[in-house]
Amino acid sequence: MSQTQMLKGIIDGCLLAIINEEECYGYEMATRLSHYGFSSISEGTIYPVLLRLQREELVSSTRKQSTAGPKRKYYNLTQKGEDELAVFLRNWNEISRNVNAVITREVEEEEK
Amino acid sequence: MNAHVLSKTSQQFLENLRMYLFTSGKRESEINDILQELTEHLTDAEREGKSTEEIVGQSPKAYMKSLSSEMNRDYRTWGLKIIPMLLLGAISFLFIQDLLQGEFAYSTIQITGYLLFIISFLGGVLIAFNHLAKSKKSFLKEMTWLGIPVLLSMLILIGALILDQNVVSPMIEFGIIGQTLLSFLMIIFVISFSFWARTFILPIILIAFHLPPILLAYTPLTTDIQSLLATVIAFGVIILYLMFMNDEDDEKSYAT
Repeated sequence: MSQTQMLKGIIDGCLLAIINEEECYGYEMATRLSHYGFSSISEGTIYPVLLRLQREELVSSTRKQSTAGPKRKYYNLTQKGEDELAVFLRNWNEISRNVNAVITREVEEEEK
Repeated sequence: MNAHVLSKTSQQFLENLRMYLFTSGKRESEINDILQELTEHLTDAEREGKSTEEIVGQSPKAYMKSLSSEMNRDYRTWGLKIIPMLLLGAISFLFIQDLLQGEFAYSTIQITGYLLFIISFLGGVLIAFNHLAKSKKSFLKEMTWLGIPVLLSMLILIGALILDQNVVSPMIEFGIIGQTLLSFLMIIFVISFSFWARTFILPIILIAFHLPPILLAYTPLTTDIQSLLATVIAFGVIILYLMFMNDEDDEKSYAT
């Protein structure tokens, strides 16, 4: 399975988490994503996701002066977005715990 | 901060994206919005020495599709363009046929039928468009919402035409002046509409269906062969035109 396929849905949660830290614009999000290790996905991938998050009213946006100078489109979490982030974190913790359990058990069995 | 001029590849990509989203019937404000955001992103990225490919991925076409699928269709403009075209097309088609055959007189039932058809068709479809424009719907829902008014208005029209065949109602005739005036109006209408909608599909269809029979009438072929040939030519011309237009669209959105 390619990373891109596995990442569907996970990217949504990661963007919510990044925006939750502080309001930011697309380029900052992409830079942070790759800074955290998601360097294999192309930066543009975030925009279809942002369009979806906006349509589902999980994020809102405003255009304003960026720290670097020119105007940029900044994203914020809405209340609905914060709730969705909480759901994502709960789900993610459960999934990662389960996946880890499956993998480590398999590894242990191999070692026996 | 000095202004950065985007690379040719990025500019080309943005141009293609605009064309792609526009021909996919997306709302203009949303197109401008995403293009502005991507222009800013590409500018920032190129300043740091990144290539266009690092942003849009290996397949620009696939990337355009993924953006497009998250954007709303512009039902109002779309409706304002496609619907009048269908109606005008159907009406001018019928009129020109009657005009060429010299049967330019209609019964009151026929005319009422046409009017009711136009009103129910336009009204129904506009209501559907307004409803659909509010949020993103599945393809099936879109088709159902649009299909119902189209089907209903067609039933009204067919009903009126059947009634007309069985019930005699007073005829309304257009004299020579009326006919000339109507045909003149029709031609102006078709041409200006084509320029406005930026497609010549309507005049192409009209010519493809009506010109060959007239020309073929001068040949020594039997009428059966004439009408067969006319049909083949008509569909051939229309298919060629559509293929030609499609190729042009593809080239525009593909080249990156």
